[in-house]
Amino acid sequence: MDKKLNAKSVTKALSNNAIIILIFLLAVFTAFWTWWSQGKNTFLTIDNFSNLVVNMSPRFIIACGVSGCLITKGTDLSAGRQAGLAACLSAMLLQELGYSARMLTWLPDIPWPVAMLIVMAIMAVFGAVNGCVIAFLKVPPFIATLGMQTIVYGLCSIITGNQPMGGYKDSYRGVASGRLKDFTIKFGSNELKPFDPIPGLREIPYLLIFAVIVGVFFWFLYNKTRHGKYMYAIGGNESAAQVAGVNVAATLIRIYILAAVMYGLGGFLVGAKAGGASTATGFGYELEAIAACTIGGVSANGGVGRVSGILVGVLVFEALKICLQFLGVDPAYTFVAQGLVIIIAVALDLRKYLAKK
Amino acid sequence: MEENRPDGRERPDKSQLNAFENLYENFRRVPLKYLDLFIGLCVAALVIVIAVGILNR
Repeated sequence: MDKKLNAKSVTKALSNNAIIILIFLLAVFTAFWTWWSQGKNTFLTIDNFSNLVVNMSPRFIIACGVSGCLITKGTDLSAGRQAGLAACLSAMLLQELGYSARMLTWLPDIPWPVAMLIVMAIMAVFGAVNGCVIAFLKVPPFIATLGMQTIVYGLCSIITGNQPMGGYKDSYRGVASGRLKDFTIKFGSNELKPFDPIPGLREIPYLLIFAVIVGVFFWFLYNKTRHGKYMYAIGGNESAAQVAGVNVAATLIRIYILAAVMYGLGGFLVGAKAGGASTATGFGYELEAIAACTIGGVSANGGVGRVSGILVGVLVFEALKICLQFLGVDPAYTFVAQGLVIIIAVALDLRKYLAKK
Repeated sequence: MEENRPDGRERPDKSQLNAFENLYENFRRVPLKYLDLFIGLCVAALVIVIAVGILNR
């Protein structure tokens, strides 16, 4: 009996974490491969890990936004395009004053935190529209957000004139490239770098700090607030939640607004990291975010999902990309591999659904 | 002879299901072993794609 139970629990654990195990094995293989082919270990290094963290951070923020939609049995296919629009808006607001190809020549110099808040506020409007269409008009989220994806792409093409943008201010580029050791407090003519002398903290990238703040915020929101409880209730059974007194429409609108604000922040960071933006920025990010959430245990059936799972999902997806890059796999094959990982993640989710029935 | 139909009470109302659940509901009669086989094939395909990607670099 115990043996049977153990075998069953082992099978369950394996099937629940199949992709994580698969990517872990791939990482181990990559480490051995690089060590064998190059004679030294270039994969398991601090620099590579730092790269992984920097790549993960904006994607984790976008995935956190999408997770709310997935938990309420919805989805958001406009996430990537919204992040792209946010990157373009950030670029327009934060180009150097003397840059010859400056888009908004009349705009005065504005600090990056102000630009970030402006971009997040603009994106919130798109989220509100998505939320209203889904909550009041009862349009399936798949259709509503697919329409929004196309609208946002069109708007992005119109406002940028399909021109790639660059010439960012140093302070904006520093948001992505900066580390805690660069953090400076000015007292008149004196400058203080409070984190520079601390060995463990000084190399932490700013992007990681953004991701940690968002992660903690979402953990608190999902686990300790009424909004989080309403969200899981809607995901579990929308009709029952409504009967129990949950304001379903208001909760859905809040979720889609918050998601769009996260795309705004994610897009702002993606732009800073890339050093440029165009209408192609953010392409495919929505599928990566949905895939990361599914890998991390956020069920497409709703009602289930944790922030720690999303983090693991994003980590797994980024680790896959980095492993394939180290193995020298052609980017075309990388897309095929990513697609297969998404199919496996959905198939495993389907298996969990059917096993429960 | 009485027609053998599935009991309506056992099945959720399709209008209450989202796109994914509707999709998932279509697979409710598929045995888990076939799904496991499909997952296994996908994993094998993933390994092959990575192997071919490495060999073609």
